[in-house]
Amino acid sequence: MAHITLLPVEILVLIAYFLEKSDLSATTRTCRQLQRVLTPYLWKTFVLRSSVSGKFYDIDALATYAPWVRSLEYTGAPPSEYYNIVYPNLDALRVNFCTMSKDHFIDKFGMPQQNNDYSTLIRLNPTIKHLYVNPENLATTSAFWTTVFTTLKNPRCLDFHDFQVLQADALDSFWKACTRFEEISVSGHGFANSNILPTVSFSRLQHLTVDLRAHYSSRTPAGGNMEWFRMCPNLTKMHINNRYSEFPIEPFAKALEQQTWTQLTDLALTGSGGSDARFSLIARHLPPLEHFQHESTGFGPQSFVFLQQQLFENIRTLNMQGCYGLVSRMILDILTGCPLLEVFKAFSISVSDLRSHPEPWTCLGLKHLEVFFSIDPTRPDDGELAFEHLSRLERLETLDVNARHTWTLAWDIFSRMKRQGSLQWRLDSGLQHLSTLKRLKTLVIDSSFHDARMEDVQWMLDQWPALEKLRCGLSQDPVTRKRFMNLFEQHNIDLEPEDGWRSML
Amino acid sequence: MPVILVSSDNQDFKVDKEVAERSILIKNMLEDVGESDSPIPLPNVTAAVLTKVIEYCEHHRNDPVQVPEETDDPRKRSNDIEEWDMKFMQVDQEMLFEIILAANYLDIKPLLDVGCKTVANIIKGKTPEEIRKAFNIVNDFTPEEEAQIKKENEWAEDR
Repeated sequence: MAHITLLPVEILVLIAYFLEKSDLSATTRTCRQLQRVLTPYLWKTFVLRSSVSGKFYDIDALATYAPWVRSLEYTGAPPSEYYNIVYPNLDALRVNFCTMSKDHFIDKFGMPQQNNDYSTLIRLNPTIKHLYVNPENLATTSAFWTTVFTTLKNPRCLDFHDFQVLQADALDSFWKACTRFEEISVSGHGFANSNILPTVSFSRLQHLTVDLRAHYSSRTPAGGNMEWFRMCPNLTKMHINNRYSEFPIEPFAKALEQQTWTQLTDLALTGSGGSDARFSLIARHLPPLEHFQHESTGFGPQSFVFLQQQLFENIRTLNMQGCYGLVSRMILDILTGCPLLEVFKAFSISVSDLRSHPEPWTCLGLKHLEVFFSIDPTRPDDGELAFEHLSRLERLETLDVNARHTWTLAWDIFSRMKRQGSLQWRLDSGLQHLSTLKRLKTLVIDSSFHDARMEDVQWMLDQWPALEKLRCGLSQDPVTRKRFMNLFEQHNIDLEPEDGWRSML
Repeated sequence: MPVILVSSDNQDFKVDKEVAERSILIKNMLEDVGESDSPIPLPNVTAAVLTKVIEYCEHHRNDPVQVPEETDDPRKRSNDIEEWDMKFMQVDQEMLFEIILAANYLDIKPLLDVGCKTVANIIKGKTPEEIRKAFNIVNDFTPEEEAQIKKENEWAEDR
């Protein structure tokens, strides 16, 4: 007779995979067999934190279960004996330094004891591959980073937030520790200080993500932090976000020109300021990327010409949603000129431009499209024209035509949009063209869905067998609203009613 | 060309090759044997269970091969059972486990997943006592052991 306790271990483990921690724990408490089999999975990820009463997990029990722990988090400054535990199979360690514990309270001139504790923990656990350090205003010491450098056997990823707490005497050892990782993600205010330049090369580093929140360090000379990026010759992925500060455009362009990163395929530059003319210095030297993301207020026609030259042939994912300078005509150029495009996010297509640029779109492998279609309310055939073009994208899985407004959106663009219409998702507006989108899974439309009728919705359900998720504005009429909601529920479609950007006006 | 499957209790089932090949075990067997019309014995699966498994494979005969997305959130993992599958899995518990075991033996990954998700959904939100009741599990812990495990697991049960 089949019984849960008689299932083979590999099946019990699969069941455990579908359980949340609390449910898994309850299951291990039912009987010896399930406890024996499932306890290792319960302990795979463990978070050490103080309970309401201020007590930490019993240290003897922790030592017993330590061999099962793969991913570990220490938070809330546990007492020092907890740093002497060996976790023989540890992959990931996340440490949240914390100044709030009374045992570890440090005045701003003192050296934090906790750093030494964490050095001990790392020294005892050299198998750590992924190290996440969140110092929360507590300085990390030179000894801490030296331990990271010397002990970890096979480190892979380092996440470090936040950078400003690196003290001058810890910098050298920090940079040295960084040379051992393949992926680094850092963020922080003080990062751009030019006096923290490394003197080593990061030849192992492949993925670099930097979030520069340098608005507090206005004395930073632009380009100070560039030197670090130049010392990473094997980067394949570089994501740089600097919403609050001047991006070092010229040095970055120079580095691109000198082919500093010959293997780079994935670049994101978001939030960088500067005019179109200045950004075009970067655009001119872009390598043949597969993935590019850009968000800025300065992007314009000069940069676009270079984008066309450098990227169109190879680009697969292009996210320029926050670039309002990427105007409708340019978006159409992308749709007709990038044959390999799979994911594309941009601001808005003005359907009247489709009349002057009727060439069919060539990016037939497109799977994910996010763009708003702005319609001239006096031209009833505008919608039809847009649907006709969209109907060629037979591989689309996600279509999102809701207008986005990011921080870069200027008020004049916003008020211009106010006067324009959006696609009407109705059969009498040309919706039937989209019967070709058999792979469509997710559709996001704005409040223009308000006047959709039952027959339009029924048509969508009949024509799009893969549809799973719909985000749209629904009729304000409670009876119609309810009918739609019931219909979607019957078809097992995840409906997220949203009243769209227009409701914000 | 149809394939003949033979259950452990010696019943023959004639199914389309395409349906039978939802089972990776059978697919590999057919590839090894080549063109042959000899019946395939499945000594680990009874006729009652095989009927259910074939029903599942018939319904999913045209499904594309899916690579499930890895996610860290178990809630997302177990919430996405299709309506048809959900109804299909409304069977008594013994049959549910038999289907899971058969899916494991026949190597039908989507069916194995749906079965395990169904078990996970039964467990969800229950206390240990409620889980014992749901699956007819005998509590073989001493009261002391039970208290100790409860204490040692406390960290995992903050809801």
